[in-house]
Amino acid sequence: MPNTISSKMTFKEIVHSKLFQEELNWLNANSSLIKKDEQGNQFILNYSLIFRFISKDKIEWSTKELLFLKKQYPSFSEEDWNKQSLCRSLLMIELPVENSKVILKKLVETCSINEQEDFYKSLYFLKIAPELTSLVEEGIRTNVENVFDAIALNNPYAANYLSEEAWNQLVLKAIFMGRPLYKIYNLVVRNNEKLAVMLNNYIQERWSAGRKVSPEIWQLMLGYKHPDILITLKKAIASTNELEHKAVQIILQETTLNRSSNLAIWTEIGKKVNQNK
Amino acid sequence: MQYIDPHIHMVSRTTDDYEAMRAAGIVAIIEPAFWMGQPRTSVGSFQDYFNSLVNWERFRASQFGIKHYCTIGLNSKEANNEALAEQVMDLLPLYASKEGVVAIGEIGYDDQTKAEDKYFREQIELAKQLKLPIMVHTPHRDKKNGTIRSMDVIKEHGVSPSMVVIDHNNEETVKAVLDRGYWTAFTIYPNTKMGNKRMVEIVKQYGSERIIVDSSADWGVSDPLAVPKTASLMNELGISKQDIHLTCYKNALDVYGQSGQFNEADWMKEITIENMELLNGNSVLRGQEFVKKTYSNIIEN
Repeated sequence: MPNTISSKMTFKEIVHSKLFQEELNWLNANSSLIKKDEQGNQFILNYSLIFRFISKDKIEWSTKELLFLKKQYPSFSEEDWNKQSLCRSLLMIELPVENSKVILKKLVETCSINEQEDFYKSLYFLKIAPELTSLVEEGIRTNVENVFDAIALNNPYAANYLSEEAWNQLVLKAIFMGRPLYKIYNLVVRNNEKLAVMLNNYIQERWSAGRKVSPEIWQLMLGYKHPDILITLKKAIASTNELEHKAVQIILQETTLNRSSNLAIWTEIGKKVNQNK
Repeated sequence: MQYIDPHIHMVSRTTDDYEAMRAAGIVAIIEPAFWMGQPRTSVGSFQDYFNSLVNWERFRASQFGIKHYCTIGLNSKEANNEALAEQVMDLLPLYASKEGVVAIGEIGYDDQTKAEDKYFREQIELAKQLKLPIMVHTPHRDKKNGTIRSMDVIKEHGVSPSMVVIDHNNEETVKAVLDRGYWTAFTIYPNTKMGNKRMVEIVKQYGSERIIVDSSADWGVSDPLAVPKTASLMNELGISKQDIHLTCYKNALDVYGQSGQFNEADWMKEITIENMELLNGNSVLRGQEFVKKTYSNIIEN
């Protein structure tokens, strides 16, 4: 969990340092307006207005800044954040805590696609992050790929705060939508036998329909002695697909000792599987 | 050739339409907020509708390689439910301020009642405040008077005609609207409004300056390919490529581009990607491919 009190100051400083003077002026002028409006309407309006006043520029990060951000926000990924998303995060962080749960719900109910992406990416930064799981569970139900990605990929929120049930839905849906699993933070850490059994059924379903599964899926079959899973693994080792064969082989040979060194191999497999997407 | 359909209600259309539109060369569309065929009974229905315009429908269009924009407004029919209209007016500034909202619209008159007049004027003021263009819906009944009255009211509020599209014109209104300097749009619609053979005659007579072709395709009998079909018919009947480009693409880009939200670069970079690459692994198409279909260019009217 991020140290929100000290990070608030420093995150703010980092964001401010990335803005042009006129962008900063707009942000400052509006932060006092937001504080006066307890209903949150000004906050919601400003959240939408960011695109008019803050550019979408990519950011040049220093190594020090990146180190700080990755500490505050594990799996923080440079290419996912531009100036607008940083400013949206900052607005959310600065929202007074008292009403923020109600206001954040009101906000997400009016968001366009870009705004929703930034909303879900920012939740982990908030002091009340652990209390916002129902918003994220609702978010997972989206069919808009970019919004789903904002929740599922390079975002530590789900792994840290979602229940096992909600986590399993997230991973299942990511697989159904063909999303790159290697970008899901703590995928293997949060894995559980219940999910492995559900995935085993999914694999059978795909095979019955004459379809393949992503080789990334096999890392979630690790270490479960469920007899059905073993049967599936033995069948899959015969795969002629090189990546799939390799993936199943790793699982059949994996022990808790080599697990952490295998993480790099799964990332590599994930990158290969998803390189054309 | 590439086309823009600057007035189409995609929430009522199917994925077949999206496929056919993209195959016919439509690269960008504008979906104006309008009524859904039956009156809404609560403000939440409006909010969900506005959400679909800035969120879900945008995503759906993107799956087919079409860039989706919208206009936000309270339509004239539902302006007559004043208790509800007041609540909708409170929602408008938030949605109208969002990215990809290229105008306030479609607003104007239906029965030309007092309530319609009140909310038309309030929304003209909102457009001025947000520096957005205005898309005006002209009434089906008492059309000529309604059109002239709309322009008089806009003038009264000090909005430049260069920021306003008067839509659903016909042979009876075109001259007055062009003469007063407004962008003059025509809806090519089977049975009512305009047929596209008539549209060709209008372009022959009045040229292409400030004239815009759209489909207004919605939940009724309408044609989402009206713009490309009209363009083809113009071509067959000897209208120049330049005039076709202006009426079926460039004029719409110029007027709605004044919002700062409607930029050719947005779709130019995307449509260079091969269609099939774009379509892989999405949740709307589910792996299907485009099917080539052929259509007649004539829209009987």
